[in-house]
Amino acid sequence: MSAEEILAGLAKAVIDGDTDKAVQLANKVLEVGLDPYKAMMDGCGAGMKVVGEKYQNGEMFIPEILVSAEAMYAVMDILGPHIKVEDVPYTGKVVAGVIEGDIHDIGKNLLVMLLKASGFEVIDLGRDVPVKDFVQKAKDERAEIIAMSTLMTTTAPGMKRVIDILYEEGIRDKVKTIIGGAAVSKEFAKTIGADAYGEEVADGIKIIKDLMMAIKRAR
Amino acid sequence: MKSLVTPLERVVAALTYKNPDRIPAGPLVCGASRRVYGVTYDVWARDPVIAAKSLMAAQEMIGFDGFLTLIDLSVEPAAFGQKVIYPVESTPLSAAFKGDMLIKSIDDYDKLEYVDPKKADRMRDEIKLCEILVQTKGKEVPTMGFLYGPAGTLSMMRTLEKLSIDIAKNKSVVHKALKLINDVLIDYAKAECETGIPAIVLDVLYASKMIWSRKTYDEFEGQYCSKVADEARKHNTLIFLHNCGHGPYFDTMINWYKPHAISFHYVPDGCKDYYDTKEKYGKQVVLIGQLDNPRIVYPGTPEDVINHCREQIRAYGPGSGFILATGCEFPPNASLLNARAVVEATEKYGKYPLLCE
Repeated sequence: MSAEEILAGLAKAVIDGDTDKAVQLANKVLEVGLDPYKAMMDGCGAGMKVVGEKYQNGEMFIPEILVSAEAMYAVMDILGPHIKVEDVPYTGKVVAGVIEGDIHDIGKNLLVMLLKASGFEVIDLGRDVPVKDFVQKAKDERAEIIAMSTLMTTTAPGMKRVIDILYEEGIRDKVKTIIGGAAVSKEFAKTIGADAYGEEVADGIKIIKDLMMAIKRAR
Repeated sequence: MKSLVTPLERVVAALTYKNPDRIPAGPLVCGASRRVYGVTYDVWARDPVIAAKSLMAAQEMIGFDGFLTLIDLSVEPAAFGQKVIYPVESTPLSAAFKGDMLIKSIDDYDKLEYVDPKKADRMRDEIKLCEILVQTKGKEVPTMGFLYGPAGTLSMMRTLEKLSIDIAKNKSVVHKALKLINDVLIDYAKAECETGIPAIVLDVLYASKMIWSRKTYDEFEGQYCSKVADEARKHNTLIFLHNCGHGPYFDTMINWYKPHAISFHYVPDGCKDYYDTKEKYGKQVVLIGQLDNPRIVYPGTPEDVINHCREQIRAYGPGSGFILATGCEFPPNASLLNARAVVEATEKYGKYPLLCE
């Protein structure tokens, strides 16, 4: 089996959500000595890119994406320990979570998985995350971006609090913020001083990539 | 001066495509009513007498044209034994999202048991709430009961994420659970209808292009929940649907439930804008909506809300068959002045004949 066939097979297994096939090919990657990082990005990552596009075009839906993600994570479990940190080009670091008081995390989870598939390092804080934790983690990890979501208007003010703490800590200029979720809007983002708003997961990915490019250009 | 037309008469006119004195206003004030009565959310959500008094006080103060008995989306799962978290000042939520799922594994689907809605935790409160509102205000203000569909109910005991994977990999156990849940929901709808509510709202969120495909929806909710609608029809109760997801499948929803009205937040799948939605669906179903909570109602001023209402009255008002409402529950912690602004907008711009006609 050639390297191209393995990569194409991995992409297809991810798109099809075929975990068994994905695991089989991940083992093949190690067996033939293919670069595990390349297999992750050009195999699984390429597959997840197609999944993201199909979701945006209404050809795939949440159940299908989750099954694809399961296949991708199964490959990650096998190849992850074999990837050397120095081999990984730096794409950007994002701290992501659902704001304190809210537990609806499916949108955030989709964002995290598609960001990882795009090569970002993502620190997933989960749901119901205390506002201080977003900032602390961004400081500790030297993350460039904080991504927050909420589905409830009762918890949306917590997003402003995160931005206020960034100012209080004197690092507002170092960390970009993006918000998303059904309870918020572009107008709300503007009101609280967030850098960006993503209406849908696919928007979020694109905006985060744009923010990251702007950060790199400014360096 | 108080109008001589009652909210009930106004809503009936809109539902029958006659011109009411003005477009009915339904800012869907539910949890926000607690602030009018002066109680915390956790108290409001657990006491149907207090909830009823709160809703009536809010209706008196704000002047909206109907009660919606949505307490929160954990009422149905709680009846099956799902633990619920009651924050002091926020919407109650299923503990499943904090990892405490009633259905922790595939095997747990089999453990679900039939419950009697009249005795079950929280469902009995919802029934009581309908009963109090109908008995106290039924001749003047219409009460719309509320019921979360079987797929939504199941997801609150398993999480949407896990349910979605189960659907892909273990569909037979999911179907078995849905059948049982639906049997309870049919009896629940019956009990709500027996209180005398003129309409029941079925929340069918998953008929949305951002969540499930039409095919998945048909298989995992439509075929079940349509039986709930059939039960309500037996009691001459009107069927309203609510879907605040992106790109709701109006065609699918109409096909399964034959509703009288649909309450929605986003433009339906296949429609371009408000005008296109009115053109495509305005004669098939009464449209309830579609004020934008996150963009305008929550962060905006009363003036912003009135301008937004005017825009929608212009698109949806002509020909009647329209109730101006928020696309989802009025944000529970938003300014109540913005709820009042919805009513004011109908008084100012929604009188028939409409100025825009």
